[in-house]
Amino acid sequence: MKYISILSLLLLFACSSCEKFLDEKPQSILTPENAYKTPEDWQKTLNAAYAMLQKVFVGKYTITLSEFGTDEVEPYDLGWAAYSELKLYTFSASHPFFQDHYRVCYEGVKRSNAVIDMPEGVVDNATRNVMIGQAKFLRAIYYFDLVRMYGGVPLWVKSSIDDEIMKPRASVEDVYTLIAQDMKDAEAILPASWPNAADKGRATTYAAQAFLARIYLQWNKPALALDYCNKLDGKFQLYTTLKDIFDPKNKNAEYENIFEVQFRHSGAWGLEGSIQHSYWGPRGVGGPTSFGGWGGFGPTQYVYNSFEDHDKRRSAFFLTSYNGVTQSPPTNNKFWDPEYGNVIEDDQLNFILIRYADVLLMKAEALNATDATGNAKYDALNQVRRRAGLGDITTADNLDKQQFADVVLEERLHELCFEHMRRWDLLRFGKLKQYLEDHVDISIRDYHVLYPLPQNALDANDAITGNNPGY
Amino acid sequence: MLKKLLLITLGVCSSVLLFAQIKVTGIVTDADNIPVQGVNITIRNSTRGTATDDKGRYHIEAAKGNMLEFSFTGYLKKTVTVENEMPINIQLIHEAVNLDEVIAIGYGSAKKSDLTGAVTSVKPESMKNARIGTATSALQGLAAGVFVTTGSVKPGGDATVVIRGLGSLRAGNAPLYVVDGMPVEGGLQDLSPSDIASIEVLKDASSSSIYGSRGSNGVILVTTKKGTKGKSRITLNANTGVQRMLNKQDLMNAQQYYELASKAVTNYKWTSEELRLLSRGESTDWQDAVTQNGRYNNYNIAVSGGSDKVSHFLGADWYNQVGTIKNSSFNKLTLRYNMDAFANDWFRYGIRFNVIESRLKNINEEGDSGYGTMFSAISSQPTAPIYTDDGAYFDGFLNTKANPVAIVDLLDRTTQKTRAVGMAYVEFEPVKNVKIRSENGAETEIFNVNAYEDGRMGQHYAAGGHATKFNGKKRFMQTENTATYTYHAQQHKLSVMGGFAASKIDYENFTADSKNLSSITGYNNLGGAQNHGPNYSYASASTLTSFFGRLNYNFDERYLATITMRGDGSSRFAPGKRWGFFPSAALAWRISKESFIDNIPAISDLKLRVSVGMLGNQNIGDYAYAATISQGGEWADYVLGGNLATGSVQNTISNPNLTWEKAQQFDLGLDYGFLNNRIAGSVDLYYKKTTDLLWLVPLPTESGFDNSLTNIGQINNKGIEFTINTVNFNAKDFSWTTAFNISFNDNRIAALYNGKQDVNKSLFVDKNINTYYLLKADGIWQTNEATEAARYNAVPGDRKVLDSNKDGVINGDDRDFSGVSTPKYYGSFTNTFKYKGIDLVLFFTYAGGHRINNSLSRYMNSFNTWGNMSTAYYNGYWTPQRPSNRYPAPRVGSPYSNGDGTDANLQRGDYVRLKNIELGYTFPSNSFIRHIKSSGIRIYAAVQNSVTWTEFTGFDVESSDNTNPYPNARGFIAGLSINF
Repeated sequence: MKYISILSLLLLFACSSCEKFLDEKPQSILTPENAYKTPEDWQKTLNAAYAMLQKVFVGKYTITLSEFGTDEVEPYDLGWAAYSELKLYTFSASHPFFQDHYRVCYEGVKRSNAVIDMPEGVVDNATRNVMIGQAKFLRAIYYFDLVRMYGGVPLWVKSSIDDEIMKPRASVEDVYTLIAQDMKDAEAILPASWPNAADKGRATTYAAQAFLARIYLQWNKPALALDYCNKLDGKFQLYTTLKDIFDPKNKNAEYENIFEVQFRHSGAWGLEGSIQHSYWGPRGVGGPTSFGGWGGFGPTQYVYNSFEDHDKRRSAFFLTSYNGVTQSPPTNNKFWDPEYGNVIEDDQLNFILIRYADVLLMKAEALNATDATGNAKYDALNQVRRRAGLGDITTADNLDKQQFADVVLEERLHELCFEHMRRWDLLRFGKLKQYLEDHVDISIRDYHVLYPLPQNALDANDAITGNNPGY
Repeated sequence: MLKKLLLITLGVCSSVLLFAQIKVTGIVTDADNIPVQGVNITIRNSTRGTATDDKGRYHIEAAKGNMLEFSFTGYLKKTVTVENEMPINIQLIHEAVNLDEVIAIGYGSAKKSDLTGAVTSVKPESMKNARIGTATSALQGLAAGVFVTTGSVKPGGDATVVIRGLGSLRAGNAPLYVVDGMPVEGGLQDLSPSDIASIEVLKDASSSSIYGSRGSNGVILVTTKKGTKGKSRITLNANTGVQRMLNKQDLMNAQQYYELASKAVTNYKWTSEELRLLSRGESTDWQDAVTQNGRYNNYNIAVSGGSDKVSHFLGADWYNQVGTIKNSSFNKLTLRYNMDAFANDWFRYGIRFNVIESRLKNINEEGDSGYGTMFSAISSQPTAPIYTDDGAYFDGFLNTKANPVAIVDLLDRTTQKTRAVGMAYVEFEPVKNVKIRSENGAETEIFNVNAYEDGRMGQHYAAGGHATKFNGKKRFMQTENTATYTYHAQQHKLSVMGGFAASKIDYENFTADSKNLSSITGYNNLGGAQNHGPNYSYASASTLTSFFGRLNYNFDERYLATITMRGDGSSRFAPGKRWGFFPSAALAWRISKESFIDNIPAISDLKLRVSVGMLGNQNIGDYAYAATISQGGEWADYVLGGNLATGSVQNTISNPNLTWEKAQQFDLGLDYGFLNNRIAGSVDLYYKKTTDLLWLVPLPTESGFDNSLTNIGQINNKGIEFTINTVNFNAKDFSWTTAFNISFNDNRIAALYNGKQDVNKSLFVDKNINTYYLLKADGIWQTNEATEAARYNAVPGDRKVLDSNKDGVINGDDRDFSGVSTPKYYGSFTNTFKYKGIDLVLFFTYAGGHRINNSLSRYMNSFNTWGNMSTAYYNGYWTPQRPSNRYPAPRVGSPYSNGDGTDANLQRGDYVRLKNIELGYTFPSNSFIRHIKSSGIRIYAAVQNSVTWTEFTGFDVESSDNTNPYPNARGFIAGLSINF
């Protein structure tokens, strides 16, 4: 009996100390209770919202999602189904690149929402407002990429996940409305330029204006787009030398380039370096470590041939031969890092998300679309042409509205090729199907103007009732 | 006349001899030639008899022609006729089953005949079939229902063990390993097989549920050797061997490669070094350049002994292996000291102490196996010389690949592990039949990975050198306390055990990373580097407290019952969800003890067992229920103002309801023994249902969270295990025994979440969890199919892929189920022959019903602009004149040519392998060995992996990485073991 009571005592003692013994707190990770205590915590949260720009525009899968399947860029290695399906429009909703793109866009939305919902009190009010402005700028960019790829998508505008997590698709109009509102809120609060060198790379009011022009144009509201193009008049200039646009020495100079996705060489791949040189570099020369590229994709012969012979951009933006190896079709030479281009997927290049040449061409396009009279649309177009060493286009050329639009589209191809614009331009000008047939002999269906919502997103969200028509 | 006389004389003589009593002497040993004490020797049809002494010796007066019968519990009776030859030495062999054997069952032990659960005992001597390798890999084929895959045969590579099918998608499928009461993470790789006294595999719910929340994947209990009372024994074991690489891949030579590459790639840029090599008519065989004959040796010494008060065991083991790939090696030093002391008749105490020090030099196995040692050797172009003319390593490989020879020469990736495990127990019997035992143990493990990548290895590596140091430390402490009460009255036998336990694991690690540093000091002076970082560190802790109990009841040796219960509290779950309870019950009926069976002489043992119960799996990592916010890393960081801007992201949402995976298992078993247990074995049927799977349920992608760790879904495993052991022959000088087992397992996902499939992860309801879901490759488009091919953007010579849904395009919607990667059946077959001192073992293992993705085939059997291809491809690729239906034409950009996404590279995984042949000779105890005071010397020779029958063409049918595998090898071993 004595032993039994000793045993019971022992058990009792063990029991009471059990629960305390079982309390283990995370040591290397934070939890919501301790992660948002200081202004620095919130700056880090905002940094992470910026970080998704790298994945959405220069990710391993997303890098050319807006260019495969156009007449501008093609995969060379059709042995990889994921590549050939995008070129040939044989993809289904389970294509891994859509899944990845959709995922990183919404990751960006989530991170932006976290900052937008920042409670008052931790960060001083002025700073907090500017931080929220940056987050709205970013959220607008992420939603813009979603809406032009997939059409109407579910809208998440809160950081809380306690509400209904299965949200239905919003209409394209609703998505654009949110995007425009976010961008306008950002425009109102962001500085024209960040005075501190350490802040270079953050969103500015000019970046918001340039994006508003791009957004309204794609939303088919050229008059509004024009307003924002006009706001940028005289704020930026074109580099005289074409190479200067992409030269890593000119990063964040705010001369021609309005907003850049930031990268820096980091000493190992998979960190903060960019993969652009390794993906676009010349083929057959020994791979990235010899300033070459993986060779999986590159320009079509069509895009190279479409330049006029004396167009300076053809020689500036293309390599026809490197190290004695002929490049056929020629290689894209926009993204060339002379210092770290021979390091695997760790170069120094920023990705220029929007630049003044684009704004000028948008202005010409918007003026034309709104039937503006006068020389303004020619001026805007010719600024870009002159730098390329091309002659002016004037009223004397007697172009009607459609013909002028065609000229702008061609000019955009030559100026902005490989800058992730072609698919959206072709869609906006209504030329995707025709140009694919005419230029690269690929026939597509009408429904291909939208990509399918990724299958895994459909599977995980019961509120999405169906995919885009045709898929 | 003379003939007649002779006959009479002979007759008289023989009749005299026949009746004359002579003194018969000899020694009785067991199968391992260890003398057996207490063997009963009787003369048939007489009352006379004797027994062996402590050295196994006996003498008895017998007449010529008398039949001597030797019997001992657990051994087959042996009968020998007295002839002229003296002495009569006898080797007894075990019955096919030993029902009196006492085996460990976790917090106690039981006689085999009293077991109610499905427990398999593994005989440590059978583990000698895998001398090269770890103790885990040596378990292969030794127990039905226990599937062991070697995974990697690299030196130091360990095997994986799955008991009764994969029951978890995410919480791990490894069984719980318990060595002398201490849980061991990561298998038995650190253990010296010579230290093992017994291994028990607890397979069903009744036997495993005493380990509750850690028991759902089964439990492997290891008991190490103890000293025994009596004379001290010293055992020395030495064996050594060589290994020759198997399945070298047949690749094109330089000339063939030049011809094919020039034909298919118009702008192929040949380096001047390659052209010079070609002009000399040479070719580089990269596989030969990085491989060699492996060597191996293992030395072991064990000293044991004891008195009435103390017994002890001391073991030291040195294992050293030099791999078949150059610069890969493994060595391990193990020391063990076990002591048991009997302070008085009611108080005992003892210790188990084990120290392991190991060092592994690895081949290049970095995450991207495309840069691995063996893959580089297979894919490097044969036109490339090893060295350039100025003696530097050639570095002009396609797409940044490394020079394979430079890798084996220069890569320094060394893993060092130091582990110390100690446990001390006290046990006392305060009143009769009540035993109280307290076991308290601790373990410290220090794990170091040092790596230096020399820039000369090739373009992929940082030019100025790159060094990393990883350091991990684990600290584990545990206390387990039990009280056991036994009661024995007439036909009733009862034993009740209750106890509580608590344990804690602390884990921490860091990685330091530096670039541009001296290649001489390498990772030993990171301070001397130009660039530092990124550096990482991590720490976590978890605790477990438990109460458990077991009741065993035995009525009249006929009816047996066991009830087990464990309650576990784990820090891995949120407050309020920490406790889980895992009950089980089992019944057994020893039919052979019933009177109606008792008189059927052919049936020696028959026992029917049935058990049911619930087990858990808490193996989900620490803090998984909490929402976590991580800082840093490429996924979170950005760049602002040209500087790194650290980001912070919430990656997971919390799930306070997270709880254990629960496995309910039903087992129906029959143990049988026939013909005096010359034939024995068991059959088990089981049904294991795992519910509340710890699974990452996809959240709506729009939430920005991938998934949430949730308890959902169900996996069913059903199976049959069959074991038969037979003594086929048991003559005086010759015996032949056979052991065979086969296990069938059927694995199915019964439910995922909300009735959905998870196509992304290839998980489908009502399918095996390792199901292939792929496009169907259907040969090659032929010339007469050009029109149809064009519809799919293909031309004749391209791989034909089935448009299953006939919608005119080939994409993910055309995928179909293409087999499974886990074998449907597996097992082993052993034959042991003994003739006088000679013994011969043939050990086969087999598995089948599965398909293996031979990922090397992707590179070797289609045109590959990134490296070399197979000779078979060169001789067989499609041309209009040579229409192959297997190898696509060498055309850059040919769709699906490498077979990715299709079933083109799947091969049947069925195999039978003669894993070991061993021939040994034991010198008789009356031979020269007496003069060196030895009680036994055995010499032996063995061949490991002598033959494998399989259709699989990769490096090894059991390998888990087929892109950068470690080639398997045939081992030739010679050894010596001496007892004093």
